[in-house]
Formats: sequence, structure tokens, C-alpha cells
Amino acid sequence: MREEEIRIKGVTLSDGIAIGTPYLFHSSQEEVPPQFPIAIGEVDQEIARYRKALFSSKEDLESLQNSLEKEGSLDAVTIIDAHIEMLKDPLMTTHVEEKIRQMKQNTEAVFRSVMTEYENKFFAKTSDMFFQERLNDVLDLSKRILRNLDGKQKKPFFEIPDHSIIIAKILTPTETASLQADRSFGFITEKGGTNSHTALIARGKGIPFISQVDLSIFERMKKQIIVDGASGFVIVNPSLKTLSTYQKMKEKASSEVIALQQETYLQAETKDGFSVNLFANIGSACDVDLMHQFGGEGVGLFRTEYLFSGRDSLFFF
Amino acid sequence: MKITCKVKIKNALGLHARPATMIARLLQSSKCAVSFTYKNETINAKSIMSILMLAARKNTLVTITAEGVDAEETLDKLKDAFDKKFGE
Repeated sequence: MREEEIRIKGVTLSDGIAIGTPYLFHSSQEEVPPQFPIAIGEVDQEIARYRKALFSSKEDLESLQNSLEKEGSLDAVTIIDAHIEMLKDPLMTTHVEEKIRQMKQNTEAVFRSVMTEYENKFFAKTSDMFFQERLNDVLDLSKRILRNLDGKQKKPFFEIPDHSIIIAKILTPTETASLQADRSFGFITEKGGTNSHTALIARGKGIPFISQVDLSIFERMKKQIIVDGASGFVIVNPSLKTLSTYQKMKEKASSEVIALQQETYLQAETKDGFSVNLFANIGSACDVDLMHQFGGEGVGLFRTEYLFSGRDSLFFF
Repeated sequence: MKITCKVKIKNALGLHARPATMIARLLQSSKCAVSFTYKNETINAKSIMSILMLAARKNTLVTITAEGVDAEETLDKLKDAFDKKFGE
């Protein structure tokens, strides 16, 4: 007998419809690193290991930023800029190094205690939800640094089959950014707000995303799931009827896009022949090709600040 | 030389990630010590993580203090960035 269809109401962070099988994503870095004392003679070695991890983190972020730039996810490029800048923050550099000298413990333990201290201070001072969301960027970055400290385990992000719906407690901005938009994913998380950078990046990539969902149901099921951004519902084990309705909706949405694309050769004019200028807002030279593709005749606004993004490799370490 | 001045936050979202990134970059080449005071909290303005912690909102005032050889020039650059709403 077929099990019953279940609908769970959440909060839409990014619109659209996704249909797929659940993929439970656990951030392995949530584990607490071991803590042990080090000898005075080992201090310099630990600091060198830390600097190397910061450098590798910078390299990771720059390569992620390059692919985001090509993909045209400009909001994500700006967010990664902030991560790169945080790697140069005195709190991340000199402060952690001083603490390693002072505490004489392994770098992972010292780094984690510095980050916990920052997090606690942040929460004590900032009750503002909008700014509390920014803490996720710091946590995202600190996970990356811890991962690079480990050295041997360079975990490839999201080696996930196509048509998966990713289910996670929380998704960090860079986890979301590293996912290719064209592989039709959907996201369901327990935590996440509309103002978060994770949501902003998902919207930019057009990935349907519903948050504030109780995830316990997904632990024991491998059935199909629908993410419906328009209504904010996650539909587990959909009936054949529901499934076909959503498949049609999805097809309709993509055929509308295709239909519109087929009309891009038309002149920008009203039915009675009044012609208007159709200009595009661009962020990089590559956007000009895209503009031509969609029938744009010129550039309205050139966001020149993006030209400087990700090009800040001078005087680093 | 030590100089202080008050500036108003004019951009809609306050000192969030992008303005904080911009400030930190702007101060990278500066030779002086720069601090922001906001609601009795004084932080190092060269630290983007500290700026974010201020959670400084639109239409509030930040006191900038710059101390060092290029204090005046640094302060001018900062004031300009605040006035131009960090390009937002």
C-alpha cells in the first residue's frame, strides 16, 4: 500500500519548484576538534601550520569566486569578498597567533576557543536579527579554516547525485555558492532566514529553498520530495496526482522561459509601434554576450565595483 | 596626530558585510591606528569582524578616531565612504 502524502509548511527563502530524492547533508566539521597541550618548541611550528591553513583557505575562496564570476552570481562574489577580507582580520591573524603562544595548545583547540569567544560576544552585544545572520559568514569561514588545518582531508563539497533535494540543519553561504545551479537541486533546512547570505545566494542561482522545517521525518525516508517555493510547502511522498501536477507546473515554468527566449529577436516596441530602448545592467564584460542573447541594445548601468572584487591579491601574507 | 570626528551612517542596511569589507580594504594601506566608537563600544576599524559586531544601523552616529602620520588623510577617506553610502 502506498504511504500517505505529507505536507510540511516552512518559510520560503528562494522561490521555484524542485522535485527529487532527499539527500541528508551533514557538515562533518561540526565535530569538536581534539584539544592537547604542545611543547614550547612546537609553538612556531603550530603557527606556521595555522598560516598555511589561512593561505589555503584564501586559495579555496578565490577559486570559488572565479567560478561564481563566470556563472554571473555577483552577489555571491561580493559575499566571498567579505570572507577573503576576514582572513586578514587581526582577530584571525595576530590574535590567534598570540593565543597559540599563550595557551600552548594545538591550533585547532586555540582557534575554536577564539571563535567561541567571538560568537558569545557577538550574541551578547547584537540582538539585531539582521546582524546576527552575519555571524554565519564568520562560522562558515572558521569551518573552512579548521578543514584546511586538517590538511589531509580536502572534502569535496556536494558530490551529490543530480535531482537531489539537499536536507541540512543549516547551509553556509559558501556551501550554497559551491553548488552548480544547473543541476536542479532544492534545499530544505531547519535554520535560515530570508536575510541570510545563504538565501541571497540560493536566489541568485535560482535554487528553490524552504527553511524552518522540522527535519526528523527525513531521517527514515528515501521517498520523493517536492519543494514548492510559491506556497512554502515541502511535500513528502507525494501522491501520483500531486506529482503530476507539480511536474506540469515545473514544465510550464521552464517552457515559459523558453518561449520568452524565442522572442528575444523581436524589436522592443509596443503593439502600436512605439519603440523603447532596452538596456541591460551589467557587472562584467561577459554580461554583454548575455545581453545580446536576450535582445538588449545597450548598457544601462555598469556595476564597476564588481571589477575590483576578487582582484585583491596584493600584500597578502 | 590624533583626530576624532562623528559620522552618520546613511546607507539603508547599516554597517553590514559589504561596507565592513570596504572599510577594512580602505584602511589596509593606512599607517595609522583607527577605531570606531558606537554605543560605548570601541573597536579596531581595521577588523571587519569587529565592525560587524557593532551591528550599526542606518541614521546612527559612529565616532571615528585616527591616530598616526596619515590620520587626517585616512579620516577624509573614511568620511567620504560613509557619505557616499559605500556605493549602495
